[in-house]
Amino acid sequence: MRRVILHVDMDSYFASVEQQARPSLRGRPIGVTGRPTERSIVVAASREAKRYKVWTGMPVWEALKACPNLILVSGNPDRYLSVTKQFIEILKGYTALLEIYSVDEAFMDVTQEAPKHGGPIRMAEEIRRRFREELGDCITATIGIASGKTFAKLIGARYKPDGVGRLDDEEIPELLESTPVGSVWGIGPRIEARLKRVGIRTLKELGDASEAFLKREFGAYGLHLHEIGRGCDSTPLVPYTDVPPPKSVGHSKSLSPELRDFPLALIVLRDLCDQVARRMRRLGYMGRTVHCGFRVGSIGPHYGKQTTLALPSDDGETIYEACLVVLGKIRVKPERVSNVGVSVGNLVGADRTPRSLWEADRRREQLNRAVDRIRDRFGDRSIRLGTSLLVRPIPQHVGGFFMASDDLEIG
Amino acid sequence: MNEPIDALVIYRRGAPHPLLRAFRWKDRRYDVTSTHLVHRERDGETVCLVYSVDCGGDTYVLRLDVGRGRWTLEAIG
Repeated sequence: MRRVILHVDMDSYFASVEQQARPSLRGRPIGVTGRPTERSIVVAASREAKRYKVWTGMPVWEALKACPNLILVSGNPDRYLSVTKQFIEILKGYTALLEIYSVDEAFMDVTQEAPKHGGPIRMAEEIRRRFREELGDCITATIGIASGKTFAKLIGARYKPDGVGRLDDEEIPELLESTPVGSVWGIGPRIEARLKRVGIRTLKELGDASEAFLKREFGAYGLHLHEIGRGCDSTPLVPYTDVPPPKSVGHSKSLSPELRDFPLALIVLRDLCDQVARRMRRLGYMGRTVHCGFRVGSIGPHYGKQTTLALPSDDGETIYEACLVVLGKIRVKPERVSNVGVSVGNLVGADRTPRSLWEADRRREQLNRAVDRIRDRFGDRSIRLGTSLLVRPIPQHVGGFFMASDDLEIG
Repeated sequence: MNEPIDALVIYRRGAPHPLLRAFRWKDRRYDVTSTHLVHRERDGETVCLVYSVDCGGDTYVLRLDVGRGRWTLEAIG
């Protein structure tokens, strides 16, 4: 039986939520940003702003040049996560085979359920109607329907915004011929460039290429590419009830210009280590491999290395000390950096990790537990490292719009 | 603004949050003509519902501290 996959993609999501909450913004070009300054970037543009060619990721100064009337709105991650939980609740009512792909996208396998709703198109229309009624008129979604995730996403993109698109089997050959490889989900600029170098520009050409060649060039991913090129996609959904455990826990932060001096960036990094450690403790993990990196300039190179701790840890100070070791290994010594990040991998369950016998370590554990209790009760900003007071508060959702699966608390 | 208010709400079975019908601020009653958005915010143990509503053409932002059952008017316009 051919699968029926729905790809639900919210339209101009953050901007639409802002327009829903604030009617004065409706029908006007708005750009959601981290901070409404010219040095920030546009995280989401309303459909009115998109008409002026304002896109996600565009620097604010450039967006204002393209659209002088652009209204800048500070993002509100709590608001977006809350609405995400609401639309996910609606989708959960249709199928248990629901994959929450991101804060504004989900896949649904409705092979069994669609006939009960009059077919997939009627079902998609019903979902969109419920979004309008229960979330608000401004918060719309486009739904793509196909037999696989990649093609559902691809066909949906052609019906944006606020539409429903279905790909039937007989339409696949035309789609393969007309679709550039770069517009396919999962094929980034680097893979696209490598494909172009060997003369592969469309999905059809990808399907015509030999499987052995693609496997040699791209490994196991080459087999997936070949399958997509032949109009098949058997990629399974990862239902929200069956999310695999995290492989690593990390945070990164793009630095505002006043924080780009290396010593100040280290203070931000210390705070990020604290956030990573707190999240690991909340998830019940400890980790041994600490990866730390930074970027020089807004489009400059990224430098990163990792180190392995003698014992797994979930302590912010220990992770930070490991980061300093890592930074010592990186030979580049920049005066200014634009981004810092830390992640901890090689995770093991905290309940399967022996406790240290050293008194100092045990006191540190007790301190972390006490700090966690205070934050659980009074909020994450209630108790902070003294050093972090030297810089402006770092948003809890680093980068403004980070979302981890544990943020959604769905399981 | 953080102004304390009295609120008239309906707890409807199956609704994700209480439905705000009217509120009283500074001895004046404001009837809610439409609800634009309700979202949830959490800070530690404090869970709040933030309502963006319309009363006669103006938008009001109100906050319900769920644990304390306390309503406040946060912003107008």
